Amino acid sequence: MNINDYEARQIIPRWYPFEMALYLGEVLPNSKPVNYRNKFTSYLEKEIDWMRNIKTLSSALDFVGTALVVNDFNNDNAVKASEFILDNEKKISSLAIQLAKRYVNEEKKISNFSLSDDNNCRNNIVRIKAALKMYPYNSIAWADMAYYYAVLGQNAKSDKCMFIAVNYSPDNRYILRSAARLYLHLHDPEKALYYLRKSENTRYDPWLLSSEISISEAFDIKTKNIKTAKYFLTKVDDLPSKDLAELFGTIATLEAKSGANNKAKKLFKNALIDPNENTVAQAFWMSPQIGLHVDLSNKAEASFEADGRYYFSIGNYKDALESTIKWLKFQPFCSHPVISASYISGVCLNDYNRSIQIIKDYGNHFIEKDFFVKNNYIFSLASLGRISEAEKLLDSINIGSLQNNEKATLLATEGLIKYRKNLIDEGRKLYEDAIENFKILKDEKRTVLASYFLSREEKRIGNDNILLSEKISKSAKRLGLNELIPKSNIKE
Amino acid sequence: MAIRPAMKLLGLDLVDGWKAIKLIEPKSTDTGSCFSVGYIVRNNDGKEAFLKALDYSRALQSDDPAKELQKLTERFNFERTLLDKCRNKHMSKIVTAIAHGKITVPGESSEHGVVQYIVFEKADGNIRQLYNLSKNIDTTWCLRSLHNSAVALQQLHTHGIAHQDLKPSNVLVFAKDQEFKVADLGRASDKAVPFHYDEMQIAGDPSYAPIELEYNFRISDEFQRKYGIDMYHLGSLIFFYFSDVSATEAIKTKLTKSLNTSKEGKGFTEDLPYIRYAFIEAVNDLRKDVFDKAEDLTDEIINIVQELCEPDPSKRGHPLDRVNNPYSLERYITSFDRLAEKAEVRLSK
Repeated sequence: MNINDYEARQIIPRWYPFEMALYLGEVLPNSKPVNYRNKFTSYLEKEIDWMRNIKTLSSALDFVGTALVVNDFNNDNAVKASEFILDNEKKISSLAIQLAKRYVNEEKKISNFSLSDDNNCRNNIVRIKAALKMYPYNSIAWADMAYYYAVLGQNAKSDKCMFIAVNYSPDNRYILRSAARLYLHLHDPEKALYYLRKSENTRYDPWLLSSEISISEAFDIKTKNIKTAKYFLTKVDDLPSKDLAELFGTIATLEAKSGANNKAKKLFKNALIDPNENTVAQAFWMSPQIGLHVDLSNKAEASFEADGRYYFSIGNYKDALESTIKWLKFQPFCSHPVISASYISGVCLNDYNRSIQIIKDYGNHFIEKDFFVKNNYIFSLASLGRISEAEKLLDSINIGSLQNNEKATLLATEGLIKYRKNLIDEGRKLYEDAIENFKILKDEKRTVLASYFLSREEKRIGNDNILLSEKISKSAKRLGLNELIPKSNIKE
Repeated sequence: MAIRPAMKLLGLDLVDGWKAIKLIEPKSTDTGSCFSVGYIVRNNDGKEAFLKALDYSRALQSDDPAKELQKLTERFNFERTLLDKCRNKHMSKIVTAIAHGKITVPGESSEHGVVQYIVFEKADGNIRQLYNLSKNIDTTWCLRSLHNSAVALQQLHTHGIAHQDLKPSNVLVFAKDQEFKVADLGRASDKAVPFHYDEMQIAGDPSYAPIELEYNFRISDEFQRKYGIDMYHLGSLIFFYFSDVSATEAIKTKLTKSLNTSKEGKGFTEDLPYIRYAFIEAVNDLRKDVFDKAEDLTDEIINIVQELCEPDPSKRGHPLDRVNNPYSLERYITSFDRLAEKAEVRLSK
């Protein structure tokens, strides 16, 4: 969804606060819980008691509480007792109300989760710190605190909290996946893999197996688990589809990478039986290569990335931006959606003010940590003519630390600033240098993008080169850069 | 449908001059066993007591009546022996048997008409019946009952008995002496007298059982681990008093997905971080409810709940006792006593 889009997207585990992970079905097995109704006479007595005698809150609570404990869900009598409890909620404690709500499955919806803004994160950190003071063994709370610190960009503190979490619970799926995602965020894939590989559960848990393989693949690190995973997928008829979705998707991605598109397609079909949003996004990302049709109408909850990709692919940039902003709030410690959202806003919608606002609101702490966030920020400032601010930020970039493609991108952005300062020759030279560098790097997409913006600046000063515009349009079409096509033929 | 023999004891002369004068219809707040029938009995001195008569009728309706009858009788006899032991050891906080016997109900065959019974001292009710939801709670009353229940458990543990089914309906109130006693040893285990029910995965009420039992997880095969279950039940009473639900119900409420407890043993240690997280969330809610009633006593009460209901059975109990005497209740007995006194003083101001 942006020029830096994944060259090889993998199903890298997502990271959310525990409650959201639990809600999304990534924590506990998704198999239907065993109903122990008939195992306990005392439970049946409570049901009879509730049915026969005067209905009291006390007997309703006793009955519903036990129904919940023995997993006797969808019992009409218990549902009625829960409703009776909820009708009298002023008379009972908050836990008792929650108990009745939990029984009638009044679960949280994804929209009820407060997606992380800075204040929310700080409040959560204060709350968790207080709880940990009282009870330090709560590894989930340590992992949650690591999450909120990561969202705030306080990586060292996040690392420290996760270290405690992973040492308390070195085999727990939620902790291991969260830790792996954090260490990737901290550019330490070896550490992510270290913890995953250290746990024996990684050999048996499809969620962990998938994480280990996808991270190894993403960072070109050898893994011994591919065979295990393939074998595992042939032997797990009794596991719920949801628990296997990521692993099917990860192996499908591997097959596609090695050119076995039909195998990949078949595996993705299994992955999409009951997928999570990450798997849907992966399938959608892979779909053009392997000729897979992904039905997004029946998609997983919180499919913000997949939605964004879909809208982007059909040129509906407005909805693509809205979905990407949701993705950004959903994975707030991740710079990728910030880059995508600012790209869509700036490049596709020419809304530079919004692009700046997005970075300020959601990606402020990435400005100093992620070159492309900063570049998009400078680009938007310069496009609005806020040159001095753009230059100030530009001066703060440490060129020595940049990769070659980042250096070439910087040349193009410097070129834009020169154009906007009416230093046309210098601007043109910088753009041409950037294009040349991209060509050397064999980065066709960025070559076309830099050419597109060079042409835009030339048009601004009255040098409209229709032939060049058509050439750019043609290349953009060939490379799937549809966002550049209509505009390259429109005179500004 | 024919009236069950156990329901026909009214007016009959029983052992030691006792006579059944009133059949007790089960109330909505009782969660006692359906294998027995209750009566009020009176002796020649006019003293009233409670009689529990063994009801075979459900066993007779089962697929294998002979086996069920045998099981029922064995358990009844086991309970009777335990009650004798409690009386002989002077366990003051256990509701002990005054007498026991059996009677052939007139008009019934000698095969099916024999009813065994136990006579207990009569209480004014159990906590479940008398408790009027947490909104109207009397903190002193709760803390005193917790103290008495802790003493009862300690008395049992000292003599190698684990109760395994401590819950509000098994804590009886004796208003005259302002005393609480623990009743119903029907699910108890005696270290000295192994019984085949000892190996039951969950001996008591599932809604009060610690979650490790659902996974059939045991920290050891030692008998003493059962004392840890009693400790959890004791802590769970605090949940009940202040938040209307048991500790187990509160934990399950906080987990929006159900645990897969069919993954026995190892599954528990894998899921323990989730259980612990849910437990702490539940304790956070409980804290607010406790604070509304117990104010400055809140921290100490919450601390006790955390130690007694700790989801990890190896960490349950007071940290200072963990090495030498992990299941000791002595510190809690002292704490509950002190807390009850503080609450009393506050009430009198």
